[in-house]
Amino acid sequence: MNLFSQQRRRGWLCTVTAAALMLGGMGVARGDVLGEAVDVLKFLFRPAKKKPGVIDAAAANVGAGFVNQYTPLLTKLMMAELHFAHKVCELDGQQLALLQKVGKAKVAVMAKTYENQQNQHQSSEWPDAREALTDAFQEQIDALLPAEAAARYRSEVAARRQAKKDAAREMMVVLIDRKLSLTPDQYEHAGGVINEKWDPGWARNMQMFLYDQYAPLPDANVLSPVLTERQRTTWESRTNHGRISFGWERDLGLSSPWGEVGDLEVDIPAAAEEKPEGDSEEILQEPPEENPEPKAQDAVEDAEEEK
Amino acid sequence: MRIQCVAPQPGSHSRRRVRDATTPAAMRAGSRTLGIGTILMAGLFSMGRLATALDVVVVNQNMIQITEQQLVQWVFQTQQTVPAARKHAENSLNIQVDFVALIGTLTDEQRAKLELAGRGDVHRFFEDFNKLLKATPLGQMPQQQWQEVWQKMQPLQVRYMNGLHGQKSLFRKTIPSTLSEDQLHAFQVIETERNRRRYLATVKATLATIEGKIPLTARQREQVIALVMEKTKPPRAWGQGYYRYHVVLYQMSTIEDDLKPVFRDDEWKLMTKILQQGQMVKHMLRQQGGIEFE
Repeated sequence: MNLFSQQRRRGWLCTVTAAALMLGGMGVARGDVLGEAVDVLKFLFRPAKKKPGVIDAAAANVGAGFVNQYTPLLTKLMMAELHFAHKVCELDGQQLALLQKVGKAKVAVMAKTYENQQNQHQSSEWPDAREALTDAFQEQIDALLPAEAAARYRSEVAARRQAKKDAAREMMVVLIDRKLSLTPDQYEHAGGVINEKWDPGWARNMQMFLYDQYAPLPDANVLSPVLTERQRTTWESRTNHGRISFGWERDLGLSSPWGEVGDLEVDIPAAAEEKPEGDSEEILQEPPEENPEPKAQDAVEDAEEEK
Repeated sequence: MRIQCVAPQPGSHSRRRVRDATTPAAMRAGSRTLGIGTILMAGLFSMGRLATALDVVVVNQNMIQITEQQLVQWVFQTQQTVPAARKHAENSLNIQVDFVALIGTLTDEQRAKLELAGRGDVHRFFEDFNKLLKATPLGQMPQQQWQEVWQKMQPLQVRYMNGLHGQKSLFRKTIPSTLSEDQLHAFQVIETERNRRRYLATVKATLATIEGKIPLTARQREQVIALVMEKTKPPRAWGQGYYRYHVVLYQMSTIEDDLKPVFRDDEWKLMTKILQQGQMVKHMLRQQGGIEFE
């Protein structure tokens, strides 16, 4: 079955590659067409799915019950993301309970990670717990839900990350424009130049853009293709005050810059919470399936067998 | 009893952790007055206390050591000396004139007139600064006295950081009388578009911050952005940086009825609390932040 599936995947690879080459030959293989081809390849060759409820080794090592000073805020973050997953995928009670359990295990891992970072006085940026949670939810949703719902969640999470990146990039251009009065062409061009040199840390916290002298901004060398000599001279004369850090709570959006506004919660039916698909001990001990077939792949094969 | 000041060095990349004055603990108290006070503190913090809070190390209670160099750095922030700050202001003026010249038909005479007005703004600012500097006692002083000194210096810092050629400057006031009707119209079109882009970016950044608490779907995000851009207007002047997102919150609070259907009930409960922040700082936005709404 596995060999058969692999052959099928190779078949898809050949088909998609051939299609992309043909389109390229016709002069229409623009970036978006190739991008779609790459997406298809990524989908076909994505890592094997986990069985629903299986938690990764890191979570198993830490233990789902691990609690420290980071747990309460990380739990709020997890609930906000669970709320989001529910909004996008319309999860039933059992699915919610299962995701919550996986989320709690991930919270434990992140709480332990943050504790280690703190103990080792690591000044590097702490891992993004929001990303870790959405990745963990994605794995579960892939296993639990139809391919269409899983794709919707993936697309929504990606859109949110992209929106944050876009917002950060546009704020950077605004700050440059405030100082250098960019022409409309320069305005567009500056955004492109920043995109090329993108550093994910730039979008970590939008509050950075409230402080002109601490906001992450490209230096004159990066902007030089965009600027006039006069603008370049002015930009070079700025003093770089370094980066500003608001702490991990703010970076994750857990602590609102506008004070305490409450948190999103999800109502999980008591019955589902009591008995999800496997209790927590089973979840922690169950090893991941060796090479399960992706659900979407199964559907394709079933359809072809029916033919 | 001394305060030691550590000036930021040009090109330094030190990382600093800043505690914002809008603390959750303060807000949790639920007091509207306290909330406003906290936000006011945050504003003051951003307008200059940021530098002092970061750079001043108290080594002795009640007394503070002030040098001219420190005052210069506190006022000019991104510039280390008065000549450098002046040069920077003159360069900024030239860039502003270049921006007006985007209309494509600026004559030498018109350009000279605008430059003259702009140089007047620069001159007036540095005259005010030098006057104040001369009148300011330096050396050791009690903290209370330093607070009084800073209260006089801080408006200058705000003026410089906002740019010397903003809406109320001589330069800006000279534009209508210098350009012809057609030129002025062309300039206003360019500037309106520039302000719209700035507003759009700030709306997106505000929303990205809100999404830390209330993650939105792509559709919700698009709807909110479209509603804010369609039903509210960008401010004429933006003022100090700290309030940029408050401006958007305030504008969003004026179209609550339009926004409400975009959110789920539990999301809207949080949103109303967030939008209240915009309403609470409305007057301060005008007074402290130098922000002007249409």
